[in-house]
Amino acid sequence: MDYKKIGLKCGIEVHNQLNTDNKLFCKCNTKMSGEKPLVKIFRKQHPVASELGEYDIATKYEVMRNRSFGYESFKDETCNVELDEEPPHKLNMEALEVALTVSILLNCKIVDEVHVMRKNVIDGSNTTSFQRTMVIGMDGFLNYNGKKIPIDQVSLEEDASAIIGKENGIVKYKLNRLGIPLIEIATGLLEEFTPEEVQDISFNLGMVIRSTGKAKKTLGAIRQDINVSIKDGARNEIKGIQELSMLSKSIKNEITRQLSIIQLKKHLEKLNVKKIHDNPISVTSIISDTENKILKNIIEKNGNIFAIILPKFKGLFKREIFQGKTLGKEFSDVAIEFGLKGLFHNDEDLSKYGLELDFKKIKENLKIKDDDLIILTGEIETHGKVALEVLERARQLLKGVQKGTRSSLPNGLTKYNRPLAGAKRMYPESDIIPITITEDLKMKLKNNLPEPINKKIERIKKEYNISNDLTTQIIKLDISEFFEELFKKTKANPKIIANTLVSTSKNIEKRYNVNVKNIKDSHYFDIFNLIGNGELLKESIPEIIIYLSKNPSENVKNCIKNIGIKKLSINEIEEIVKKTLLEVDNKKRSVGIIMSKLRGKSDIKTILEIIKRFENK
Amino acid sequence: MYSKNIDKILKSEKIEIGDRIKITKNELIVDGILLPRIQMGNTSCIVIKQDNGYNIGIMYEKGIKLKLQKKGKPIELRHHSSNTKSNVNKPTLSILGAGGTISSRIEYNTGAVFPELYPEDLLNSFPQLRKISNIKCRELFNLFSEDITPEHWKIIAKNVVKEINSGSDGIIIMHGTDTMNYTATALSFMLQNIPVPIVLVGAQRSSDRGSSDNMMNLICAANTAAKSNIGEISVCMHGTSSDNFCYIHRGNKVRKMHTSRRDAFRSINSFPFAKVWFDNNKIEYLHNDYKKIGNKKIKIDDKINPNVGLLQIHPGINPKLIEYSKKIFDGVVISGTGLGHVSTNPSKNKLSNNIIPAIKNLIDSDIPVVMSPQTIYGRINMNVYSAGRLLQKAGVIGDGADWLPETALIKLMWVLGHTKNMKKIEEIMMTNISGEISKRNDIGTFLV
Repeated sequence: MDYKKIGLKCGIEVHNQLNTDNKLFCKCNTKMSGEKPLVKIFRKQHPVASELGEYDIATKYEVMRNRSFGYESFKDETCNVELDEEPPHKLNMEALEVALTVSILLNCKIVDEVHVMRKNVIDGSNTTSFQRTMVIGMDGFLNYNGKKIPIDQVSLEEDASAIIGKENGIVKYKLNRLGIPLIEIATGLLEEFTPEEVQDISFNLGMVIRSTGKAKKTLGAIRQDINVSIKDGARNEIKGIQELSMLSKSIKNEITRQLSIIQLKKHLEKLNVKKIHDNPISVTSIISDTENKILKNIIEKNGNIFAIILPKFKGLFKREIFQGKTLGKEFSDVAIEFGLKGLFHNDEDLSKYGLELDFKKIKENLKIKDDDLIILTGEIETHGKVALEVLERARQLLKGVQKGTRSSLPNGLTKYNRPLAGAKRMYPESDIIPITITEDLKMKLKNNLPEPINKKIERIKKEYNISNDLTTQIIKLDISEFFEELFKKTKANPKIIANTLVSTSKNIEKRYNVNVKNIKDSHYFDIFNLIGNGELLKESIPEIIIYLSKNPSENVKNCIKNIGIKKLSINEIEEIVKKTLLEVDNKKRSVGIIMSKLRGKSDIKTILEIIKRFENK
Repeated sequence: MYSKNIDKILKSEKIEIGDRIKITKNELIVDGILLPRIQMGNTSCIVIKQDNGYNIGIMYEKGIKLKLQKKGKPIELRHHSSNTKSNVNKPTLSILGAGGTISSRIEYNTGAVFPELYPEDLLNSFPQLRKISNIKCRELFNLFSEDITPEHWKIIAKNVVKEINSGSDGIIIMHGTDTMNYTATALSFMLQNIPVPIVLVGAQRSSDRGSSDNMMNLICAANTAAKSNIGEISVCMHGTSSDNFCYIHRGNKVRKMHTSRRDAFRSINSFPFAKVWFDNNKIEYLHNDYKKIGNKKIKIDDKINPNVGLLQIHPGINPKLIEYSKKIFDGVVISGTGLGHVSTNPSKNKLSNNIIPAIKNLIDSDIPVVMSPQTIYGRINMNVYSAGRLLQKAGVIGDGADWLPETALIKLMWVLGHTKNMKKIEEIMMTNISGEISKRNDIGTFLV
């Protein structure tokens, strides 16, 4: 695809949790160790009045009044601050210094006085109903392949709590993630880059944070939001991409989606559909004797069935919008976001739901044309509001792509997200005094900057004479410090160390279904010590890793004893080679058998030499 | 406000707070709305609100340039014109504002928070109120809790009477939480023969946040004021850290026991009157030992002598503190150790003091001395140890009372407003006026 031609514009926000000792505004630790909750608290939140439209939430989304939330609290990881029972403590200076360092590395201008803000959050993920956030750096740039990537802002904020689930209308959260420091880097507009390049830029930004040595690395510690727009499209923000590798795919999917909508708009123009006049109509009385269980249940509970008639839309709900997602499914997501189980429409196989007769009746009763699409919503508590929302979304299709936010799904797909008016509003956190950033502090940090990633890659490549690919992998896995330490202490061949840490472990995990993460750092030191001293062959490493993954409490010495690894003498090898060659006729097979018999007991070079010698005899 | 240097530039550039400006300093160029300098922090830092909502501070430096881009609009607070017509089938509640903004509104252009105390605003913020009652609102004063004085208690008492006499079916007093129990205690002595519920309410979390406890506390207070039969001064605040129910406490038996938690208010040496559930508006009475409302005429007796001191006994206390009290106070409440003790030094230890003579001297000069427990929980008993017996012998009042130090303080102020006769003072002090002294303490009344 010619991304220049379609006018692709992106913007990235990279978020990374920090591995500081304490949270941003209290002395709880940031471990999230997964212990059992100590206390469970139940809270409600309500919209707060403001000049500008806060009442919309109250009136349009009645459900948002008195939202109910459950919070779980954990030992040493949550205190009265997370429970919104105590004002925030002073700002964590360790986190501030990391944010300042990142700002300096990204060539930002640093604010002279940091003002902590309250950003409204209305999904309950913050017990306070706002997230504390502050700008640290502005207007910087990242050097990327000879180009300057504009950095709009580096900010420091508290992470929100993690959702656990919904139960009886109560959304439940774990409080231990709340308050963990989070760095956010927001780029300016990225034009004339491919989705792959955008992904790579995002990776590089993440590496800047990692270079401080204070970035959390667990899954979920890093999250990306991405803004995507194309010519004739509109800016859509895809929120919460956890896997970096899904970023380019998400962009491509969003491009496809916007292109599909643009096409759909043109199609509707051609059909001369200019407006959708009719509002949703209650058809409960028409289909009161429906066979469909879902609708029947709704009618029994005094709910109503609403029909939305979309002129000349018949067939369009079958259209694929992006990667297997039809327009019909996209509209179903809207209904689901508003609390329904889904929609029924006559672009799907009605016999599957026992709805053929019902749709026929509606069509006859309301005199609906053959090329019109009929959508049904069954509503109990929402009183037709979802039908109105669906209609509104259909009306928007006539205008083309609309601005919005979409949530990211694990497979690179995205999903409609209900617009949350009133979110992102900011006002000052009056419980915290503004913090002056002194010249002394800035100087101190500037004199202690971490090694920039590109310089680090070059240095490691040169210093240890390992390939570009291997070095990049070491950097990506964020194990460069460990790698260098292993080499310094064991004197093993750096290539062997790098290969073991990067590819051997990965291959073993895939093939043998073991968890290599079980292996302790001390295990690696012992293994490479033996290799460095010539007491162990690199060929033995895979077996040792498999064994230790399964038995992480064993030490390396016992492991070698238990799996019977012993370096054989030349005589012993010759004996085995001779015997095997005599027993097995097939030359190819015999070599394979010899190799498996001698794996880890001698190096391949020696074995091959001996085989060659005997074969020639 | 801003430092002189900044002020000078603002004046010469004709920039006012709220204007959109552009700041140029070295390579840095930012624009946004100029905000007022908040009290804390560096006055040489210019605070602006950027378009993305963030405030930042830019330090003054020689050569900094400020340019006016657009004049700001003065912030105009519109009030909501919702229907506040009264419904004759519903009770009418009077909400009196005495500080502690229970409802406020954020103006996002500047981030300023404004209190709101108009019935329309309250009804808009808390639409459930409409279902409970008709609402009348009046602000008496807007003071921080800690700035309230006995004179303000009188103003509140007078206005409660005024509202009741003009037909209110219940009174809600919005009050800052820090001294809410002092005001409630004062009202419990000043107002007698109470015909309708009188409920004090506040919030521990500021009302600009969606998580504020203001809504639940106010709704529960309104339910209590509109529907309960409690004819005493009560305090309505969160029962637990969760948003499930409020306790209705007896006003002179409640104390703020935590600096910040929602459920900071606890009944001391007593059970709350009731729980009020937020979800279903139900009032669950916990006992029946209180005065009931009814068809009676409220009486006000707000004579009070605020010149009373509250002194806390502690190891190594300087006896001069007690001695000097004679020059200052008309009455003294002692917050004693344990069962109601002060140091008496019977073993004549060189390092210890006997402060009984100083106390005796006060009493002999017709300054009543009243004992209260610094343990907060429990009852004064000055018969068990010799220190207590000596105090009784010296004429200290309070044996057998389970009052809070603050309650003893306010009661003594009120009693001294009525008499100077030492015998009379003791007699009224030891008479239970409005539930401040309970006859017995159930084992369950500790840490309720």
